[in-house]
Amino acid sequence: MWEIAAFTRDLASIEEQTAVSAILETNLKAQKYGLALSEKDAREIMASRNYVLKSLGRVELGIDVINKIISVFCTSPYINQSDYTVIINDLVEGFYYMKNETRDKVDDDDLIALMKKYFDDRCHGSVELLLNRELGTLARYIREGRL
Amino acid sequence: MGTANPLAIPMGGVNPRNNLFSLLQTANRAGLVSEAEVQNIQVKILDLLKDVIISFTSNQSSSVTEETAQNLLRSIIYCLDFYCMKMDDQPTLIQTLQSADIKDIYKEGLELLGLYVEETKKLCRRVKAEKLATGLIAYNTTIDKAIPDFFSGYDIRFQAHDSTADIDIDYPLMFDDMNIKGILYIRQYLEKLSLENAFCRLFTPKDIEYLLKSYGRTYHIRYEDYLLNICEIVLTNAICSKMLDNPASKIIISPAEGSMLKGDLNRAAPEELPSIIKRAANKMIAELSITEPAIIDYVHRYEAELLARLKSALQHDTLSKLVITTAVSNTPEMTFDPGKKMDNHRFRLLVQRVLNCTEPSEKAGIIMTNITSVTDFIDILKADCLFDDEYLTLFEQLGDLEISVLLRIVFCEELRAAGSLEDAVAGLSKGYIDWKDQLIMFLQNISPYRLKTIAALIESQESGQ
Repeated sequence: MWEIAAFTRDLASIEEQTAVSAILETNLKAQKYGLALSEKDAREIMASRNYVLKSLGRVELGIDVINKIISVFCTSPYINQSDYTVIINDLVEGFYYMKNETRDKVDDDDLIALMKKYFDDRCHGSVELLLNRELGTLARYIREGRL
Repeated sequence: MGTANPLAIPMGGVNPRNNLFSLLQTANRAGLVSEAEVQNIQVKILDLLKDVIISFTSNQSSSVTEETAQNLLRSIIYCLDFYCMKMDDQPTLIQTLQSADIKDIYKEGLELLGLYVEETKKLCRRVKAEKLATGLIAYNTTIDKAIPDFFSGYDIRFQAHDSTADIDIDYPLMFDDMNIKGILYIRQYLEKLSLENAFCRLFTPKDIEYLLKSYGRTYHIRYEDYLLNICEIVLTNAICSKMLDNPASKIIISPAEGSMLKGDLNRAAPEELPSIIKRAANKMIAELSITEPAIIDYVHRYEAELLARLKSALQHDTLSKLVITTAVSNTPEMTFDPGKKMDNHRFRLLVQRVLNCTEPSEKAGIIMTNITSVTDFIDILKADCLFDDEYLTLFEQLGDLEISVLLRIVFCEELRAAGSLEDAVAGLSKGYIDWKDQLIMFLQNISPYRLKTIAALIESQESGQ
């Protein structure tokens, strides 16, 4: 009865609607930058997040990370409505990957801020460059205590 | 909300049936709690876990690894279970779970747990202050270091369920319950250790240490390095010593007594063994004036295990590995009482008893436990109730002091004629009557060092005259 994976999975459907509504609230800010998520997009982001958490062996209760990533990245000049959902999914995956790679040594806000900085300044909006080049180096620096 | 006054509840008093999961299950089956209500409780616990994760990460992360989340959840459940276990009234408890905020129950569980930890720390300090004086490393390091270190690392907010907390509790108890976790495990460990220590304090530290050393010699180990339970060794010998009708405080059993016990137990019918053990245990309890019910229960609990071990030992002829007998000691221990001589009737009965035995060690045992004067000892040697190697087996039971007394009488002329005991022994030739020949053979085969010790004892007796 108290196994975390089954626990969170069984109750995921109960929480889903609440989570979707909370994601949609990010549109209030994102719309100022020409970005908006539909209910279908929100469900897709939730499903993608849940899959990533499961495959990376992590647990998150609530959707703070998704909302923080949306809130920070919606201001990026490199994100358009056409690729908004895909980029958010990739960033969420990159974020949890980094949490594992850095062994939870960096806090959520600092990590998201660093990702945004690299995304805009070094990668010029390329998620591939961010995930494949920058984040690997960043993880090593954090593990070695150089950041 | 149900009250849980820690002062009203006996310390250590927990009802293990009252854990959250079993309660919800039972209540659900009885129709007292619906599936929806159970699910609601689960949702509330998840919400609580979210708070604990944030607290654990100092508000720096909202996600953790699955392993961390699992441990945090287990810790939460442990606290909730602790709250439930402290409450005796199940119906009130179920009502509380349905109506109260789970976070409030958790908070109260945490407070109760905190108090329990403090009480257990006091118990730890008491056990440490009253610990036995022994060289057993595992015993000392467990009490002095491992358990105190446990408290240093134990955090009821995040690892309430964790019994190990990066420590090694190496010293094995007689009856350890490995199914319980966290502070409850530590508490039961300390309570049982305290009981075992209390029992062992009924015997002299010197005897216990001597017994442990003999255990080491029996198994060819340095006992200090091994994971032994002191109480089990002491209790086994105490009960078996009582089977020999020794005083209850006597845990040192000689090889001769061991042989006697072996003979007695082998002659007993297997179905008699349980009552033999029980009788001996009860006599021991009465004679040592043990009144503490927990200690009495502990002793009685061991009886079943002792029965199984005795049966196996008798079957495989390994009783000497279970009932530890002392090695022949070179420190003088005088058995012969100069004044005491047996009357003729008793002497004749003794001779008959020895003749009825076939085992050399058993014969030696009977003689050593019944003869108290050197005169009677010499008379027994002359009584033709021993043959060949049986004499050697008997002589091996004697301490140096007894041998010196015997030699002064038996080889008085030879000792006077020779310059030293060593010369006298070297010059002794066979052709004497049987038992003297056997005594010569025995003397000519003992170590020079021992011969020297006996010689010194003879000299001191001569100069004392």
